[in-house]
Amino acid sequence: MKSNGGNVWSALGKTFLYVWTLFILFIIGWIILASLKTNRELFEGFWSLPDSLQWGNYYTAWVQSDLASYFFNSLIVVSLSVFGIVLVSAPAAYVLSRYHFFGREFLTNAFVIGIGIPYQAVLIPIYLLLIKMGLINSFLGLIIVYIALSLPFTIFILTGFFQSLPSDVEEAAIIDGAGENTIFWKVMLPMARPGLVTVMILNAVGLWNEFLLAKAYMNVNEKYTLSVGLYQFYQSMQYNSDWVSLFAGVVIIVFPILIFYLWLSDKIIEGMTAGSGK
Amino acid sequence: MGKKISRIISILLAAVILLAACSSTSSSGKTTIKYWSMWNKGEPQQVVIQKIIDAYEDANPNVKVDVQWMGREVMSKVRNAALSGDAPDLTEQSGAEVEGALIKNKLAEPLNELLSMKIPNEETPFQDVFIDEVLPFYQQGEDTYFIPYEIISSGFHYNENLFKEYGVKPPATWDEFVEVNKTFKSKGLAPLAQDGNIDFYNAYYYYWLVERLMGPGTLVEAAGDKTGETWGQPGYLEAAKKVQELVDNKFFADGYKGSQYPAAQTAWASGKSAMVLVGSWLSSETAEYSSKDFVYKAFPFPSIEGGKGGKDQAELYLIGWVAPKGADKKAVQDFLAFAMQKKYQEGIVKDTKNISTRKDLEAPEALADFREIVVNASSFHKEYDGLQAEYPDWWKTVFLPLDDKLIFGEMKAEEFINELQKQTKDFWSKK
Amino acid sequence: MRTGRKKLTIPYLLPAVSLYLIFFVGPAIYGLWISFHEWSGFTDDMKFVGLKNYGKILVDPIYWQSFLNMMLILFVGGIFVFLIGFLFTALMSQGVAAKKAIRAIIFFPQIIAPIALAVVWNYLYRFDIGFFNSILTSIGVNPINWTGPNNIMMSAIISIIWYSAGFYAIILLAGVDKIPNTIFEAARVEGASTFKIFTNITLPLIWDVMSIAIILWGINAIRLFDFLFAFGGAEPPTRMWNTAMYQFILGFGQRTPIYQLGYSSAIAVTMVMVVLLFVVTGRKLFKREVYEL
Repeated sequence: MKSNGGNVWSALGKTFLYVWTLFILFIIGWIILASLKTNRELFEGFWSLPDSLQWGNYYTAWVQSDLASYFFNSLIVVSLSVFGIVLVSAPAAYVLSRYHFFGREFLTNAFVIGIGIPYQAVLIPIYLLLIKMGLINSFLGLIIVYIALSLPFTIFILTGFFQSLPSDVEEAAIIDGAGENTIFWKVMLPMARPGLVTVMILNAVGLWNEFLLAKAYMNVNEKYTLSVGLYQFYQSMQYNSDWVSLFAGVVIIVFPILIFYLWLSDKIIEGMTAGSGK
Repeated sequence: MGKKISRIISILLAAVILLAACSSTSSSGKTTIKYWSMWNKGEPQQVVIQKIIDAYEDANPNVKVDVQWMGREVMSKVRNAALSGDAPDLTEQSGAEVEGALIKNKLAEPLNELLSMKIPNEETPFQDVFIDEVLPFYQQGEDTYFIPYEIISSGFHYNENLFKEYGVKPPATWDEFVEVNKTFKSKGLAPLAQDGNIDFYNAYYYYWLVERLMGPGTLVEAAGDKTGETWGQPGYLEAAKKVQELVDNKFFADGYKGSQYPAAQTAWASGKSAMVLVGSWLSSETAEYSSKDFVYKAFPFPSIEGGKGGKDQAELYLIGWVAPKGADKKAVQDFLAFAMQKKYQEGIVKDTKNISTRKDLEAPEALADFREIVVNASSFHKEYDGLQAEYPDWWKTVFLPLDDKLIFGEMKAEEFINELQKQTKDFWSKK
Repeated sequence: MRTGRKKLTIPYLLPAVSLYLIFFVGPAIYGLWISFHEWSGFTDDMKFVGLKNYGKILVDPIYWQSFLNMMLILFVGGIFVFLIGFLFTALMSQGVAAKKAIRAIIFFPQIIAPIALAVVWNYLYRFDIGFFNSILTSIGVNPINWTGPNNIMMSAIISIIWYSAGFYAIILLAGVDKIPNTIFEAARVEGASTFKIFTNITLPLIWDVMSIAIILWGINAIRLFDFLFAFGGAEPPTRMWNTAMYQFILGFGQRTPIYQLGYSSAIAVTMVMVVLLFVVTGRKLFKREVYEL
């Protein structure tokens, strides 16, 4: 080692990393604790502790403030969207990566450009389109928009996956006389499963947290997704200052992601970094 | 091709059909009143209105009131919906906001037949139960669009016991007001609470000062002057100077600039500051946090020596219903006549702690002063002089940002007026 | 090579392509068209005004304020996100205790709903009983008005850095982990310092990953909306609007309905141009010979 300076810096850096990590854990712990206080306890100060745990806050958030129905709205919208995204993207990505036809490059590039276009560019036009189609305030409308706007990214990743698959299995299937459909559904798709899982995870997490489109296109309470519902809850809490129930709502929206993450953290991290690292 | 595909497709189809079934509101011969409310679920007004709806549906089994608790952004949503021909039959918001968003754009239905309808169980004509002046306040010519059910007015709120403790009386003039502030300040209590992140709360000071100095209608006049010249009149500058006086003397509680609503008013309720200038909804919002010996009182904005607007000049800030264009007028009017019954409007007083528009309902104790001011006023003006109704874009994009700078002490009075003059002119030249 | 296997090309592409055309490409073009109009959104009064909306942008102080905020997030936020990202990457590739757990934890904020983050951070910043001020007062420092008009944007950016840095660190780390250990060992044997190893070996070898991460950051930072929108509270003050927020509010209104669909569309077009400019210059700047392993 040339100098001790390097060590000091490295020790400082490590301390910073540990503090950063602990702070994240602390914040998560604090939110959970805050969601179990009474409002009075909460306002006593940041470090106050609850006398007894107020599980009733969760009842207020879940039942009285309708987060339950928003939760299920999100569940329906996200699961159907993710399913639709894969159903539409996988065949397209397959053809784009393994077939040769006129305009293939162009189409692939046309999809890739979509990744960089901010949603703001289509926010108002899609709104008008949904109105024309009678799909405003409708889950179906939101799901279709989610599917369409997720295509560029999903096709981009899946194309990469299909490209990396070996062609000998495919060729063997052709020799066996399998039809094109069979080859895709029975041979190639199962081989691309890791890719499919990746895009499903990425889209599920992204859409669960999505706010802008749902806020713009879902105007009535009964159709709110959890993000919009929590935002609305935040707004209304400002009129009656029930912060503890709001924190319960925060826990409710983060909880499924947390469970999902504890279960699949490697997969999620890998998917999200691979997705952007491509 | 695989059974898998057909299975997947059939699942998807089933899901789509299920969704479509969920989203279609199939009604067989039943009238539905689509009601988009400004209240959020859980607010006291929401509870009161839900009770009215339940009672109405019991009394009229063939009518369904499909209510959505939209929150304060409801006018934007109604206007969005009007675009798709999907507007509700009934909605509500403050008068000026309703006027600006709907009435002025010819997006509301007149409810003239309602005025002479009988209120169920009371046999009085609808229009006779209201405090005088309230119902005609938003009339356009012969047409009545806006049916108010809650009266709000703004002024300074305080805890009477706290004032006694400090030996202070509610001030009647601006000079007295400044003295009172100094007294609190010298004794270590922050005089004025202010949730600085709400721009239209910050605007109360400048707007009231102009009302008192120059009289009603003068703010709207200056805002509408396409040359911006009107701002050059001395009264506008004088008002700005008085705001600056409060800022320079540090009368606002520490942290007011970034105070995230409702932090400052909560602190005020627990005795950490003396007064707050805001609407009379404050008492119901802060009830849970007020200290035990809290005696809720209010005084009107002080008059200013030589000013054209006197204290008998009251702000009439009304919350009420309106029927957007295309509404089922008959159903809506029937519902509103039912809703104005005394036994239901009592809820506005008792449960929401607000002033009802019915003349036979007393104000809640804390707001008795306010009701007196309103009932005895010689003339009225709209909240913020009606700017939200007349020039909502100017209000939001020109006035409020500048006013924030004034009250945060980032701009001196002269600079504020110069900018107002310049930006108002720019605003109109772009139109 | 795949002759005779073409009959699926069209049916497999059709759903994706038609959805993409109807709900993405078409709307994007229509949006550009709307931006040449003055339009309140009420069907019949759409008026062609040519480039007037774009002219208006040039002299609109709120637009430039929002533009500045967008740039602050992009560059100030970006510099810190990548500084911290590189620091963490360097440390973690050197080896730290509980690397796996740390990796999982610092990544996590990225997948929390931004609305939830905004609610929580807003509370942490409270003047009276917030986290930061409670620490400051306990060590005898005057509390800071974190959400005050002069600080609110910086406070928002700090939170954005907080929930983004871990994510970008791990993208970079994924690049570093691909480098064979033997290279580092060889360098260490030759006596290279940690800093030297980083600049002469690690950086060139992850150059590609880094440039993509930076472009990704750019796209996300420019369109950032949800966190900031909720962070602003009930009525976000104009001084903290970024361009995405301004665009939304002009199109959909908040409490005060504002309907300037043409102007809002023009602003959206400028955002697309900023993204394109960023991506194109980014690619040019980072273009350099890639070291193949």
